[in-house]
Amino acid sequence: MASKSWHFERRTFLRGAGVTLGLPFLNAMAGASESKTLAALPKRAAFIFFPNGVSLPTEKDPQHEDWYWFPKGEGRNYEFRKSQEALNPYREDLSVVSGLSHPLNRNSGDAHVNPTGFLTSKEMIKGKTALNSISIDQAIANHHAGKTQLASMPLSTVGGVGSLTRNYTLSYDKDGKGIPAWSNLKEIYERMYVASNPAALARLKGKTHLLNEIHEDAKDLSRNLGKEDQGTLEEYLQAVSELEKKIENDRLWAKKESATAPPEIQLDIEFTDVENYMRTMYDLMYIAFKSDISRVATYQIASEGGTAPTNNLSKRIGLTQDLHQLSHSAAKGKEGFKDWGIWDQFVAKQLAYFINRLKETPEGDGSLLDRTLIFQGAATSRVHDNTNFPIIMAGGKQMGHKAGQFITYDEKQNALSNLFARIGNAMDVPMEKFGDSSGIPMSELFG
Amino acid sequence: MNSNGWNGWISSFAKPVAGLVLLLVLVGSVQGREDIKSDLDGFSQTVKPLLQKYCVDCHGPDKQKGDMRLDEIDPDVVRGRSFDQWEDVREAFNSGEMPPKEKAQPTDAERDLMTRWMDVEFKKVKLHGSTKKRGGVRRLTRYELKYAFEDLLGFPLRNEIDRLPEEGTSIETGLKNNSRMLMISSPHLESYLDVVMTIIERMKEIAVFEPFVTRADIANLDVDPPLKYTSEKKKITPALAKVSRAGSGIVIEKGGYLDLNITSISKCKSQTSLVAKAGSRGGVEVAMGFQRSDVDTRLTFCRMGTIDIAEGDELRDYILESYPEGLTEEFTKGDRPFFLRITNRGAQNLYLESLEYRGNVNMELVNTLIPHDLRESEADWQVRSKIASFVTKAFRRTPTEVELKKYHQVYELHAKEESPALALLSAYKEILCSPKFFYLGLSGNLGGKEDANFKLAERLAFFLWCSVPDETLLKVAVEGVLTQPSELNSQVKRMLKDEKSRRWAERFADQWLQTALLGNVAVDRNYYPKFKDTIKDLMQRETYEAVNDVFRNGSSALNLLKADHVFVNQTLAAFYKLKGVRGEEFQKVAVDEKSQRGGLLTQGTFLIGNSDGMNSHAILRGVWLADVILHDPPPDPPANVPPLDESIPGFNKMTLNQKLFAHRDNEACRSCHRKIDPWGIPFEGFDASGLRRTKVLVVSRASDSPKDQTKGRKKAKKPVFDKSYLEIERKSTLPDGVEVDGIEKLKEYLINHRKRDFAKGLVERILAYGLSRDLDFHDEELVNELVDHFEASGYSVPELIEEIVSSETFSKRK
Repeated sequence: MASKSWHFERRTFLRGAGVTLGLPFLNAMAGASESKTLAALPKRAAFIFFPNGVSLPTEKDPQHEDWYWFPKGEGRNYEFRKSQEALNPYREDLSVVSGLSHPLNRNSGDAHVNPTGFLTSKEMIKGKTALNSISIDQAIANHHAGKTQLASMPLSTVGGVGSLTRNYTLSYDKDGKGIPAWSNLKEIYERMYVASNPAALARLKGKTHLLNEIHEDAKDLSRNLGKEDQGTLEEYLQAVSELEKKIENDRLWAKKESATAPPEIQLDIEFTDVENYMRTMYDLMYIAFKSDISRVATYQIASEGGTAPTNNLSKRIGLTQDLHQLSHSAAKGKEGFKDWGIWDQFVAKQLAYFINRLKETPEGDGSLLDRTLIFQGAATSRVHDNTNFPIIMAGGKQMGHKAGQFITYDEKQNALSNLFARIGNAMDVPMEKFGDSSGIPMSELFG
Repeated sequence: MNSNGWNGWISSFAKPVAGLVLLLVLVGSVQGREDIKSDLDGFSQTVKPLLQKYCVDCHGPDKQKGDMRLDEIDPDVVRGRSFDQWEDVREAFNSGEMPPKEKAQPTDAERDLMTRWMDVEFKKVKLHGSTKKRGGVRRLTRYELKYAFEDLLGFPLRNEIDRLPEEGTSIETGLKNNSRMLMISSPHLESYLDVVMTIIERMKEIAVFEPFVTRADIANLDVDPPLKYTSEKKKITPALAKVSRAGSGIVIEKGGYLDLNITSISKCKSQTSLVAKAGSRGGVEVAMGFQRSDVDTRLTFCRMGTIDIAEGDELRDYILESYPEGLTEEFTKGDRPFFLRITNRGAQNLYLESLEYRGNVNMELVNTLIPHDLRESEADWQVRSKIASFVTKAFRRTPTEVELKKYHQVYELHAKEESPALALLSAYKEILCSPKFFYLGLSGNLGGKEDANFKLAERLAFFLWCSVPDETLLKVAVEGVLTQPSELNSQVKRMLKDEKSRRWAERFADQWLQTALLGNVAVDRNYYPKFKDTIKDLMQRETYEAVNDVFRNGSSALNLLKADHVFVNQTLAAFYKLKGVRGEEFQKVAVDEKSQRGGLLTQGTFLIGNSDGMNSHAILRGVWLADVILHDPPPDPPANVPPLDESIPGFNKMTLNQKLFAHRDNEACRSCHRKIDPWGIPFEGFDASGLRRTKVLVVSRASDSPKDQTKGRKKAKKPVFDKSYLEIERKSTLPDGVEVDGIEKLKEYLINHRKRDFAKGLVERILAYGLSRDLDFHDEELVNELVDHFEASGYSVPELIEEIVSSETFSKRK
């Protein structure tokens, strides 16, 4: 019985990848109008989130030296501490940012909506607000809709949507509704490689037909409905119509997909196999960017809250406390902040892995990293403290990112949304505002 | 809502106010609602000065405690913008919560005026109509879809439904079937289509399998084959060493086994069938096996299950059903020679007359579709009849001619390429994708009485069965008699008796009691080395049985607070240290107060669920009790609450109460925390694994202990743990001043003093579930009536349900 393409050894894939992937823009086109070719290269953005903030022991604490998340020094002359040392090889490709947060989201009066507002900045008052607002990745994806097979890739270790006070997705559509995130590695792969899967193609055809029928049926329904019910029906019809467009788009892409075989990659990994799962998620994002299957991705590494399924990730990598305890009880005991710092260190290691994959892959006049902006952060500095998000922005040097510094912003004058707006601009989206931004150009980081 | 004061006032003002209300009603009905005037003069003369005197200091321009500001509140309760605020004011004032005890209190006369004014204005609101939007149409929840698919298709699902995202819960009630929370987006819709397609595809796969039977030739079995020897001349133990001939059958001794070679493994359900008897109660283990290879003669087995053999003289038929999902990959993906092995695990000999392995058992499925061998004319009639019956159930009403024609055409189109059974499944697929299945509350095209009957049937079925109505219920609706009270009551009784209503009891229990917490808490093995996760499944079952007894058997709901019995099986009873319980089935077991186990509060589900896996969490348990049991949840903590200041020296040595006190010593924290913490303290006699304790265990890393300070001592590589013990705090002063010492006293207090609050909370949630929406001010009258009857009926939930279903609010779906 033929084994599925994902049963192959992952290590093999890592070495031989360049040959099996179809690169849409071949470097062998040098000689032709090079500047025109370079300008046509796609730009990409990835937004990554981890929960609960970072280890920030006070200066007097002996754990401060090694495990305080933010680096020593400032400007170009900064030094990573032990916590973020994995990022040392990429100093010239990244910026460390301090002093940004979401003031409007902070007004919500409920710390549990911090992660929900991470990419949106929206104020969400419990009991009153039912919806979020559009997230930056979707604002970018909507602008470029149709150019790639997948408009965006919303990834999350738990998957689904969750609720406004416990979200499992980072992506929210233009109406503020959560976009169900993808967590199953095999399913993500199947979404990326539809054409290689005859069953999937048959599905697409089937869905087109079913949607036609649904559309007909729904027309019968609007009689005798009260105003509120009309609204419910409208929402349904809108979902139907959006889905019709998406399926149509999927079918076109399936036709376009070249005869190149999809890459072979080990996907039989559960999220409990923490490092392998995270790296595979980064691999899938990498492949998607490299093959231009998508240009926007989000990845929620874990959720906040003591009852989240991802709460035990830290225990699975050998720490004695779960994520909720690590962060909420760091002040307890002599090594609480060190333990938390070890988790921070682990997260940095995986980010370094992702940066490296992009950096070592040539594209145009440089590497994939030059035209990929990676934004990693948390929605709090300390637990529940919606200020001074620990932010790392990497790549995108050909997109205007002035990398290589540790920059501190004045919390009172600057909001993170300003940076989001600039990232949007760097992705060729002509946005003047985003969320609660106030039009600040952030020229220290972009120019 | 905690409005004990309000009902008292009503009766004392009944006469004059009723007169006023009557007048308003007459006015209202004759001249339209625009005529209802708010009493703004009354506000400025009476109410405003009172607010100024007693409230504005803390709720005004200088301070806005609890985010409430009253100096600028809109005096027009009926049409103004401050309705939500007025609701809060009224509740806090009437319950005596405000002004706080330590501040100046209004005189009786002042209270009188204030309450009366608010009463009258609120009545006007009711007459004026709803200020909140309510819609009747909603989509099905994930769990409702699962049950509906199973009922409609007659086919057990696996985990296909898990592709759909989980529902959000209503903040007010914690319920998932709330129409306002049930939204849809295009990715969700796509997942739904995938789910339906996956299920139908699997059914089609199974429908075409060829069933087969492999029978052991017992009559001709040679039980004494010649001995075999290895190449080293060692005797090989014969397979049938413990088997001997007995007439046309065989006898298998204890530990003996019989192998049956089979041609292939069943791709769907299989049945292992025995005809046997035994001298005493025993068991036969059934397993699938194979030899690894020609050169590796070792055998590999996968256990499929055990058949219980009864004691007796007569031969009986026994069947074990199993599914390929229970076998490991080596069995389902390989194709070597397999064999079935049955082993006698009983104490006495087993007499076996026949043994069969039936594979690809799909008759049930095929029979619900179209049998292969029908004549064409008969087949056509069958198809039309099946489609009509499927659509009736799926859409919860009589189909129109247009609909029947349309789906028949779908069938015919597919029948060109597929067999009748598969083509029928294709038609079913389209029916299940229609919004007419996916959404509740849509009107049929009939109008009038029949429509009302169908809508009632739909609402009833999704209330009590979480699924579509069955044929009986639909028949009653077609006849137009469901709306008649006697018929309605009779149907409710029938539905509650039906096993399907257990679904409602369990899903409602999940949502109301937050049972999912049990699964999310990891019980720490450093603290509880002997704890096994399988106990959690039993604890969940215990909770379901307790709820089931109340909701369906009519046992008093107060048994959920305090009971003289528990629902356990042998394993769980042993864990709880209850003696004398035998058998793996769950049973009702009497317990006395000393065991402290009766009622929901002391069930493992909640003791573990409201802990951090290491120790009890008085605040979590307190919040759970206030929210779930008393339906009076405390407000959320404010943002940026600093964590417990654990750097206080000696923090680890403090008792729980001392730690909590340190946290809420702040005046700002105290007003909320005095309503939370006291509820959690009585639970301190239970640890985070659900067991009773007399001391609090604290496990800390050895490197944190003072002993480690000696110089030159090498740090251990693996963390070493120190255990120490703290005193238990059990005494607690509840918000209303009553002192309780321990959990049994808390249960007594709830029964003696708070049973109405508990009853009201439960009634409100059940009503909200039945209506698929949050309750609001307009439902208050109905709620009070229901609570009165609930109390009078001895807290019978089945009777409550009959009342809810007969209410106008439910039947008119307002």
